[in-house]
Amino acid sequence: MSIKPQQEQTFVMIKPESVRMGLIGDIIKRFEQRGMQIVALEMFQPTYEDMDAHYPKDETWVTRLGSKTLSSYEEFGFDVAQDFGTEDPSVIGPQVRGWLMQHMTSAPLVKMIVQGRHAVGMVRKIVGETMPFRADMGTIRGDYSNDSPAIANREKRVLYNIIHASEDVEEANHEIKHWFGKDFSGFEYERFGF
Amino acid sequence: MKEQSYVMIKADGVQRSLVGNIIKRFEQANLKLVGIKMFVPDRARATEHYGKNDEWCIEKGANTIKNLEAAGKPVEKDALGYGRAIVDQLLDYITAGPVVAMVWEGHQAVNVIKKLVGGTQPTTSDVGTIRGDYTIDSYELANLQERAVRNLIHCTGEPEEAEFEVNLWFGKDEVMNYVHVNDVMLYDVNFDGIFE
Repeated sequence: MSIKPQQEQTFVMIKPESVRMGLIGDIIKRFEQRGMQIVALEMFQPTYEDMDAHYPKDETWVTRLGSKTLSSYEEFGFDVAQDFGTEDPSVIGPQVRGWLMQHMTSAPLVKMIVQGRHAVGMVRKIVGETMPFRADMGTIRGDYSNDSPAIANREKRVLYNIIHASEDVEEANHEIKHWFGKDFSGFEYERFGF
Repeated sequence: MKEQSYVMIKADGVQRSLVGNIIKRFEQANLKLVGIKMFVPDRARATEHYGKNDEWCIEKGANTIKNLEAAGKPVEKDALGYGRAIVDQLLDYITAGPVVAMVWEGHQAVNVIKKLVGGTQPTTSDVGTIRGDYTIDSYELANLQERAVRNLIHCTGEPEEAEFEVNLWFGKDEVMNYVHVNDVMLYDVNFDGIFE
């Protein structure tokens, strides 16, 4: 399938907490009403291996996870050493990644390809900032979550931020291939209206 | 007490971008989504789905002939022929483009979903139902154009049919098992955990 040159595709995944809370319809609705179409959609139960391959494993990325925890603890004045026994982001990072794996395989996910004009940026905008406690009202994360890494990690879990959306076109292409297979790029159909 | 229902947003619902809104309505009515996928149905499986036999075709075809005669129009086929044409129209409609198929679970899911979806003919479905709110097609217009009524969505008609429809369109590994917030609301007798 080839898409029109002015169209873009992005990868979106509704996370377990949202599936359990029944937010699937509302999330899809928000993309549709902004003029984008859903060209692939599926609920599935990922394996540990699927997830492990989806999230980067390199030290830089994992350490960055740890740093996010550190800065969030600092912002709220919590004692990171008390909870983690260390202040070293490269030690905290792997633990957070472990919680991430555990959470992302704890219930089914809904994966989709969203297509439309400026799809990657538009979806990011509708989804809102990564940290729900900072996300604007009117965004998905702003409307449905007030979580922060500090609160999450104090509860020995990963940040619940409702949804995953690709960061840029390159990541979108990579994730669509990873989750839907190399030879599939959605169903082509006419969307009525603008 | 837990029942499953097979629901399919047909091509018109997908093209009009009503997917999210339809899912939302079921979710807010306390139903649990245990399977969803987008695909283009193939004609053979769709034929199996409707499972209309000759007896059904003859009955419906006889109806068509009666209506044609009443309207003073020529009758060109026998009852079976007209009946089969109706089945073809249904198949044309359901295979016209990508659909979103779903398995919903919950207490009396089949009847609750029928209620939310509304009557088969959109012009007479109640306001507040999916069909009543989003479409105004009628048998009259559909017959005039020799096509099926475009009513956005299919849902299981009787609890006994659910298992057949779910198994026809979904593989065993495509129907999920997990704890949903509504499992606690409906099936946790003691409401454990409220005070932790």
